[in-house]
This record gives sequence, C-alpha cells and structure tokens, in this order.
Amino acid sequence: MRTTKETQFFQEQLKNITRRHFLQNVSTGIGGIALGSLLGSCSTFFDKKGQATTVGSGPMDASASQYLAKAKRVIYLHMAGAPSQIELFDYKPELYKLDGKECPPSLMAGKKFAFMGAKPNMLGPLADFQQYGKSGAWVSNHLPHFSKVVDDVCFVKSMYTNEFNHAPAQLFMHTGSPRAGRPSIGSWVTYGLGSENQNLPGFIVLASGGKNPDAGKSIWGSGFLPTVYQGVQCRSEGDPVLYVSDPATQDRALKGDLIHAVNDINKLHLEEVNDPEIATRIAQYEMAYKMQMSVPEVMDISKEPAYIHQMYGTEPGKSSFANNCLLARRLVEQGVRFVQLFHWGWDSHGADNQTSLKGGFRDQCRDIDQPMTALLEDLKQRGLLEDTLVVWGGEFGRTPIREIRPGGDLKNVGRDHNPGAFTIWMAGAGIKAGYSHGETDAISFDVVKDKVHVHDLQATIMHTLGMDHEKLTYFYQGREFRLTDVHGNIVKELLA
Amino acid sequence: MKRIILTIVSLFPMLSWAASETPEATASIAIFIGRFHPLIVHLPIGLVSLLFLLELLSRFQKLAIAPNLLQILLWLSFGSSIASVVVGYLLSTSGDYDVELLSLHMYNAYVMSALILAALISFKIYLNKEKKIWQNSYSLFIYSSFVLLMVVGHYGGSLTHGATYLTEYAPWNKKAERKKITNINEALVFPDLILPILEKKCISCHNASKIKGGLRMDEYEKLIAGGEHKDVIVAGKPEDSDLYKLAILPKTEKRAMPPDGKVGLSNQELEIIYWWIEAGAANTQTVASLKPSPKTLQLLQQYFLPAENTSALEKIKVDAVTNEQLTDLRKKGVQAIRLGKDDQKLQVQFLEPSQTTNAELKNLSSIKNNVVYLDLARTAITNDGIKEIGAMKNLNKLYLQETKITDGASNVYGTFKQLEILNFYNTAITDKTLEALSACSTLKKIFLWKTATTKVGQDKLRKALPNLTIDIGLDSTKIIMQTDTLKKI
Repeated sequence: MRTTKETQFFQEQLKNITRRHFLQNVSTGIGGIALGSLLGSCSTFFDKKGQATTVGSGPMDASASQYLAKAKRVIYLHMAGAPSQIELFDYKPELYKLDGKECPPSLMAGKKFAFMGAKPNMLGPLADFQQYGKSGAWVSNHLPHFSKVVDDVCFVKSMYTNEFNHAPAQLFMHTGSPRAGRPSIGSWVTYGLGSENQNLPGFIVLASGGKNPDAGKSIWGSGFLPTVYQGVQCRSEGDPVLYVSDPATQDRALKGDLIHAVNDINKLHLEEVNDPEIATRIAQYEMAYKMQMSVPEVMDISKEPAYIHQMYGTEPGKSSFANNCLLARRLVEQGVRFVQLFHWGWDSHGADNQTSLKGGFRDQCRDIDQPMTALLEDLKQRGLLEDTLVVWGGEFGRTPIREIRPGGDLKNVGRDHNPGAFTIWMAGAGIKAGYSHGETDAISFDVVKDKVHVHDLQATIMHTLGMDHEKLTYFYQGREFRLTDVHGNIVKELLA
Repeated sequence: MKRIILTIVSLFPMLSWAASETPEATASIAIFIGRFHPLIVHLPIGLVSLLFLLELLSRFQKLAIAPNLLQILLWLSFGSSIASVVVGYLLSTSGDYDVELLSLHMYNAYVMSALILAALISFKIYLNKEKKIWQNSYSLFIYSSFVLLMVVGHYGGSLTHGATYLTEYAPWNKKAERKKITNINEALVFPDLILPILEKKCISCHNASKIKGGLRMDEYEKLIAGGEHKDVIVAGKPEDSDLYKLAILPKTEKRAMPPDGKVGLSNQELEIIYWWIEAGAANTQTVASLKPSPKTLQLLQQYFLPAENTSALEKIKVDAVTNEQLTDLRKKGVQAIRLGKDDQKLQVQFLEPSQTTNAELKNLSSIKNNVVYLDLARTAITNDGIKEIGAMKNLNKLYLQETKITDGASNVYGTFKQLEILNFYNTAITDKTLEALSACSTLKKIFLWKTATTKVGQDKLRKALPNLTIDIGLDSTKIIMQTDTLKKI
C-alpha cells in the first residue's frame, strides 16, 4: 500500500514522462493501461481520494500519523563505536570469577570477530554494580548521575544485530540495511510525519567526540527518498551552520528578494518537469532563508540560565556531547521532529589508553553521564517527555573476552565487537518506564531471553510515532522499500 | 430411460479407478477427489433451486417454459447431484466427520437424488402421454426435492462449520456462557483462559461434529486424550506438545496448525498456551494456584482484560472534519493534524507561536469539538484566550507553558471534562489555579515547574485528586548542590 505522499511523488514523476518515452512505450503501454484499469480497484496509485488526505502542499508539512501516536518527536543518542554493555548495564557476577581464565575454543567457534586472535582470555567486568530506583535497575559506578533516573527508563538488554563492524552496523542501526543507499530512520520519520516547525529542518544531526561516525553521512542520508528528508548537520562549535549569517554589507530584505526570485524560476521549472528534487530545492532555499534567523537563535545556548548549564555540564562555545544534549532539548522544544546525536569514541579495544576500558572508556562515560541524565530530567520537568521519545545505544555490544592484539600493550584493557548481545535504553513517550527487557547469558555473550533484533527496535520506534513500519514504504527500483525491509516485529512489552 | 441408466453406470469407472491403486494411494486419491465436494455441490443447489422457481412461475404465473430447456435442466440437476453424492462419499472416507450428522446428510442426499430422478421420469412420461397426473407428480417431486435440498444443505453446512455456526450469533441465542473474567487470579485455567483461545482458532475443525485428525478440542478430556496423534498435550513439555509445536510452525509448513488460509495463533496466544502446558496443562485450577510469574500475569491481564487501559481519549467521539477545512486553517497559520489517518480528532498548534495572540484562537471555533490536543506553548495568548478555548469540551491535553496566563482564567479548567494532561511550566499561576483544578477529576498529570504555586497548594490538590501526578521539576539550587557532590565522586 502506498502512502499518500508517495503517491504524490509518483504522480509527479509520471507527469514527467516525455513524448518520446510515451511513443516508445505505447505498444506495451496500452496493454498496461488495460491491466491497470483491471487492477485499478486494488491499487491506490491513481486514488483521487488519496490526494485529498494530505493537508498542505509542501513535502515537509506536518501530516497525520497512520494511527494514534504516543510520541511526536525523537531524540536518538547514538554512541558510535559501541559502548561495552558489560561495564554499564548488563551486570554479570559470574564473569568476575572468570577473569583471566582461558577462553574455551567452543565459545568462539563459528563466530566472527573484528580483531580477536586465537587464544584469548576472559575479561571480568571492570566496574562495580548496584541496583537503583524502585525498578531495581543495575547500573555501574561509571554512570553515577544516570543511576538517579532509571525509573524513567526502559532497558533492552537483549539487543542483537547482524553486523560486526562499525560502518555496516551503524548503517544497519540507522537505515535497516548494512549497505549504504537506504534512507535513515530520521528521514523515514520526517517523510512520514513532516515537521511541525516550518523555520527549522525537521531532522537535525549533531555530532561530538571529535569524529563523525565511521559510516559517514549516509547514516543520516535520505537514500532514495527525496533529499528534502535528509538530516541537516549542525555544528556545535562556532557558527552552527557555515555561512549562516549574512555578510555585513548585505541587506536581509535584498537576500529575501533574491531567494524568492530564484524560487519563482524554480517553480516554473517544477511545473514543467515535476521533479521532486526541484521541490526539494525550493523548500531548501526557503528553509535556508528562514534558518538564517531561526538557527542562530535556537543554537545559542549562552542565554540559558546558570543552573541549566550546571545541570547539563555545558560550556557555551565548546563542541561537546553536553552542549549537544542541551541543543537537542532546545530543538525538540521548537518542534523539530528528529534530533540525532552521535557521540564517537566508544571503540574500546584496549589498543591504547584512549580505547582502554580503564582509560578512555571512563572519560567517555563521564562525558555522557551528566548530560544525558540532565536531558531526561529537563525534558521531564518541561512536560516534553510526554511526547518525546529518547533512545540511547551503540551499534553492537562488546565481548566478555579480552582482546589482545599481536604486539598489543598489556597495560590497556579492551573488548572486541560483539554483535550477539548489547544493551540500549529508551525513555519517554509511549515507552514503559522502569522496565528491563530481555536477558543475556551468564557472560553477556549471547541473548538467551526475549531477543530484540535491530529491525524490531526500529519497528517499535516507528510504532510509538504512530507509524506502521510495514506500511510506510517507498517505491524504488521496482519494489516497495521500508525501513525494516521485510523484517521487524513491534516489541509490545516495551510499550507503555 | 436408457440414458439414465447409462449415466449411472458411467460413473462406476471413476469409482473403480479410485479403488485400483494400493490401499493408501486409494485413500489419498479418494480424499483428493472428495475435497471437490464443496465445489460440486453448488451445481445441484443452483439447478434444483432454478427448477423449483421455474415450476412456481409456470404454475402460478402461467409462464410458458420450453420443455427442451426443462429437460436439459433436469438432466444437469440429476447428473450433478449424483456426482456430488459420489464425490461426497469419497470425502466421507477420510473419517474426519461426526458419523451421525454425516449419515443424516448422506441419506437425505440419496433421497434427493432419487426425487430428482423421479421428477425427470415423470416429466418424460408427461411429454409422451400428456396426462395431468404426470404433470402433478412432476411438480410434487420438484417441490419435495427442493425441501430436501434445504435439509441436505443444512446438514452439510453443519458438518463443515459446526452445528452451532448458523445460530451462534443469533440475537435470541444467549449462550450459557461462563461469567466474564474480572479477576485473572481467580480465573479457571482451562475453561476461562485456554478454551476461549481454542474456540477462536481451533474448534471449528476439532469439535463434536467435525473431528479433523480424530481430535476434539472442545472438551478438556478429549483434548488431553489426543486424536490420531497422541502427543497433543504433553503436560509440562510444551515443546513436545503438538498443540504448541504445530502452532508455531510457519504457514508454509504442511503440518502447520491452523492450516494455511486460517488465522493463526497470535504471539500472546502462543505464550499463554506455552505457559499453560508448561505449568502442567491444568483443567479447573485457578490461575493463582499455578503461581504464574509477574510477567505471565501481566500477559494474561493484557490479553483477557485489555479494555481497562483504553484511555478516555479513545472514547471521545466527534463530528467529521474535512481536509479542506484543515487546509484552510493551515493558510491561517493553524497546524491542525488528525490523530490518525482517518481520525476526526485533531492535535492543534500554531505555525508561528510567538505571533499567536488571542485573536488567532478565534480561527479554531469551527473545529472546537474536534480539538483534543492543544499546544499553545510560547504563544502570546493571555487569560482571555483561555476563555476563548473554554468551549473545547473534548480537550485531552492542553499545553500552556511559557505563556502570559495567570489565575484570571482559572474558572475555565473545570469545564474540560476530558482533560488529562495540563502544562503550566513557566507561567505565573498560583495556588488559586490549583484550587480550581480540584474540580478536574479526569486530570492525570500537571506540570508546575517555575510557577508561583506553593507546596501547600500542591499538597491540597494532591489530596483532592489522589491519582494525579504533579511534576514540579527540579529545584535549581538543588541541581547545583547535587552536581557538585557527584563531581567529587
């Protein structure tokens, strides 16, 4: 079943067929027309009613979800590099005792690892755990702030994925496919729901940790969806968007006239050829013009009161996860549909101090602990958590086995990639608070209870937004595509 | 006459062919042909009904009908009814059916075929001799075969769909139902939990009259005893029990149950059945006596008593609103969006909140009953604006945070009879508004961070509405202290 917007794009593309194409195809076309009228009743392709179901005309205008939504907005905190679940949430007392013991070959048989060599040893958790809140959630000593808000959070300890390397796994997490070219989840969401704020992009990306995620910009790309739905990356240091401010000599009214004139010409061209990419360009020009005013305002955190800075641990002007968390709150407050944060630096292989579980990993924990906790509390007290969904997680988990690379440094301790088990958490609209879902085995190597696949998580996120992941599709290269492709089951247990 | 005999005789090769292979192959071929029975029976049904109708027309409306046509119809009726009988007999060899009901169906079908034959013979003689008595006897045979058709059809229907299929939902049929469960803990596992699931998904083929695979599932003892396969229920071992094993097979699998084309068991149903078998496949014990885990209890609650959780929102019914209306509103800066694709309830906010004043709220009058979520956060509205929206009787969520409203509008909130969520964050309201809110019995959550309300007022409201969650946010001085102490760790 096609969505209304998709039908619109298709009709536009159909109108675009030239006379030559028509003459070329006319012989098979007539048969097609006959078939089309036969099948017409079961297709929404030429559904006149379908057109009337969209209100507004721009591709980014907010539109109704498929069914009653609990969440209107999403803040997705992606921990690029994959944090160790064993040092954060997945408490495994047995694993302490196994520390230093040789890993039995049977454990590694048939599994693929990114780096780990032949005869590794087990590695006990490098953290102390305690239960917190009424829900009794286990949290390690690395996240002292976060342990205060566990009763607002829903943990999924039984996540697993298909991919064991960063780039494909990140793509898988964000686009539902390990290869580049598919739209990201934020693009699907804005494609389905549009944006509630006409002065800001509907899908904004903020990155911290000194590096973009390994999979590059394709994890917030729009794939085959019209490019109006791709994520807009804002910088958290300096100008949020490069060249957003006009040069001192340029008058804003004049700039407005310029953009309107260009858009008028583009509109003529659009009427002629009906390419949705021209509609995208028009929308982007208008958006850029509006963003010159709206972006500097929303991205300026310096006017926040001192206690808010204290709460998040923010320092205006610096690029940090904390600043991005505060920005995320400011953006959803303005009605931005999907805010995607990336925080790089979790790839704790133990190759050097930066990637050691005793070194860099702990710094990473410090970087995120206070801001993400503050984000939850701040959203909550403003009433925003009522209709905002917050998701936190990496692209896979880490092994209970210690990784030592040939010639590696024995001082630094690390773990290899583990696609078999990892933990994510969600909080906010539509999600059951104070609940922990699923279990891993005694060493957090594999999921043993209530497995949740990446596609299941995606289906569940879409569900909270009132979208049926099986029905939000886009016709491309001869078939319907969707975020979860042909997979995914909603995890009902996670829903409030 | 010769032709009639020839017809009957010509059917025998078919039977003998069916019987010629090895016994097993015979059985499967017989059933293969037999399964065409439901298809073929519709021919005599249509034809005999048509003959009956034509007979009525010719007798009472004096409609002239060509004898040749009638003759063709009679032949076709007779031929198809004999074919149905033969194919039906082959189907009955599968042994999946209740013997008593089956024989009633079968004998009546024999009689009906005989009556059609009699009608055919009468008609032939009448054409030759043109005596009134043959015409009358023809009529009589047609009438009676029509009556028999009803009888046969009814028994046939009872065999396929179960004897109670037709009248199950009749208005006069008040089933001697068990009392509806109100408390999961006191429910009896088999009659209250398992049987309703089986009734929904299994019993249409495994009941007293249709006994597929020799298995009856409508009674506890019969289900436990099993059918051709004895391991339907292996108490304590769901993975060894066919009831669970076959139900989780993918539909493409031949042994999958319910078979392809029928609605399978949902995940919840499967989990319930798994739990039931694992816990010993009890009959009339209570749920509590089986000591289910909290998760199981929750599952049962969700499956059997889901209605308790439907929000007030889902019960609100409103008049239709057109898309043209919504498009017009958008041009006026009102973003009114349906809650779901075909929902008539709306969530409303303004495209430019900072430029939205009380005057803009007048635009909402045409949809005042449809608005259930209203987001006025950061708009320039004042108390007069609140009075403007007082007519929105279906409001469920109202966001007023960061506006200039004060206590001046407090008497309006009591008029919202569906209101559940109310956000006052960063407004100048005081305890006076909270006092007025004690009349809003539907209220579930309010946000009071950075308002001028006090703990005394909040406690009073909490007393008046014990189910209300009041979020007062964090105390900014405490935030600073907390983060400082944590930093020291």
